[in-house]
Amino acid sequence: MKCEHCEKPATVHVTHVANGKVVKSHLCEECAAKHGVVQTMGSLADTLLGPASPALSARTLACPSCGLSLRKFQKEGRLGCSECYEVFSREIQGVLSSLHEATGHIGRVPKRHHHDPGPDVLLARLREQLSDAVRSEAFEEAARLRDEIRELARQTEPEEAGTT
Amino acid sequence: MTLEELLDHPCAWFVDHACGEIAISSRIRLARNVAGVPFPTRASGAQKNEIRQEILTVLRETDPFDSGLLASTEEISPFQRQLLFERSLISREHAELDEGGAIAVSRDEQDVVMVNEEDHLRLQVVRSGLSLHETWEEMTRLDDAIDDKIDYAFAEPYGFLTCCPSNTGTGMRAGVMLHLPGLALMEEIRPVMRGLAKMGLAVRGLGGEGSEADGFLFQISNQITLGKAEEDILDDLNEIVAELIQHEVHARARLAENRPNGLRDKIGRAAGVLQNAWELQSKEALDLLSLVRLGVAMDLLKLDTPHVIEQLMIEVRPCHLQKLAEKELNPAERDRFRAEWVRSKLADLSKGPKL
Repeated sequence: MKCEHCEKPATVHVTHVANGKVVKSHLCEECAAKHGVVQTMGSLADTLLGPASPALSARTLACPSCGLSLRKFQKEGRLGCSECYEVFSREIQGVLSSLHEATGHIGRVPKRHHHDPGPDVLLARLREQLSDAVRSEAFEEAARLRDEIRELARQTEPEEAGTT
Repeated sequence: MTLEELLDHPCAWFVDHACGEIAISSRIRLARNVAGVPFPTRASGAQKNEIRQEILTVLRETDPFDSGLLASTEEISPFQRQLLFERSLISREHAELDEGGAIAVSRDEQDVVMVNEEDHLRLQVVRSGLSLHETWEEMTRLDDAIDDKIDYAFAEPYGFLTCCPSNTGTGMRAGVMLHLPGLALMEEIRPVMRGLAKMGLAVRGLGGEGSEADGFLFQISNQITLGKAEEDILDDLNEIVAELIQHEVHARARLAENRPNGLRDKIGRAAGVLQNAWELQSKEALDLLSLVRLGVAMDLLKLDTPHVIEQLMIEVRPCHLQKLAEKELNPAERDRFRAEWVRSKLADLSKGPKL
């Protein structure tokens, strides 16, 4: 994914609330610094000197759709609506990985959902299928999956593929 | 079907089919929410009402609820809700909900939908015995039928979005209720439970979350709902439960071989108390009935009418007892009525060929 402001790869992903709407920004480190966006883990000084960026004001964050505050979610462990999953994505991913040791769904999908799991989820699924195939000694299937994984991995990193 | 008709029914999946089996029932529950509406915990009264109407309209035309019972919480008295809870048809939380909720129950009580519990929809399918795959087949049919008419809350990479992150992903909890008196009497139940917990499975008593294992009845269920497909979760659970059943069979055999007198004594006393007591508390009754059930399964006791024990295991609970008495009873009156009821039902309980 590229930075919204320049062509460099986006490494800083921020979800914040502006005018009652959830806004996601994808920035490179330079542009992030320019716009005053610092990831929570980024700067010790920011952490010590108090909230100076959207990410650090997380304590007062609330879901614009249902009004659930982050504090209440952290206290009671219950979410208020679908939007909460976006607004508190970082916290939720932490909770999910400690509860389930996973952050991505595998399984049934509603019929109307336009299924676009994205390359990361797809790759994880294929890799799991591959290890199942190897375990059950279905080597032809395993070889097919291996090629599929290679192909998908090549597609998701076009720059590197172009130079080889 | 009216609520009264439903409550007069004797909980067929538990009573008729589970006679003497170690695996009493298999249950699958799916948590689902309607897209674009806050979960019940954050929705306004008006929103909850609207969503409830929408869901009930869909369920009214969905098999098997089209011939079953559909009712909103306000139409069911707190006492009737407790009866539904005692039959494991609804959760304790839903039984205590005074407004905004609804339930749909099929005629045979095997399919249930709780509306506006923690999530907009909680689908539940139960079958007798160890039959997770059959239960899942019915569940997918039901889930698909509702999915045709209601837009579910779902998002990548999370899967089905639920109020509690412990259900996010598949939203599925699958459990098997097991009767494990052999392991309990051999004092092997604790290590077994610890082992199950290590494998990521939850062990609960009869009444669901946080309840004690009265009557040596245990519910074993999955905890993980994310990152593993439903069928894989069910396969793993099925395998572990099948193994656990073998442990129970072996424990019973060792009990008969190594402690024959201790076993006869326990079961003989249980039968004696149930046939002669004038006051019986709920837990005591359940524990003794459970031993009698073991005695019948091991040919130490003989009962001419089948299913009596299973039926009594439901009837001795406080609300069912008051329904049988057709009046409100205080705890002391309940204990006396319970003893009287059990005595009358176990009149033909006698020594089996091996006692």
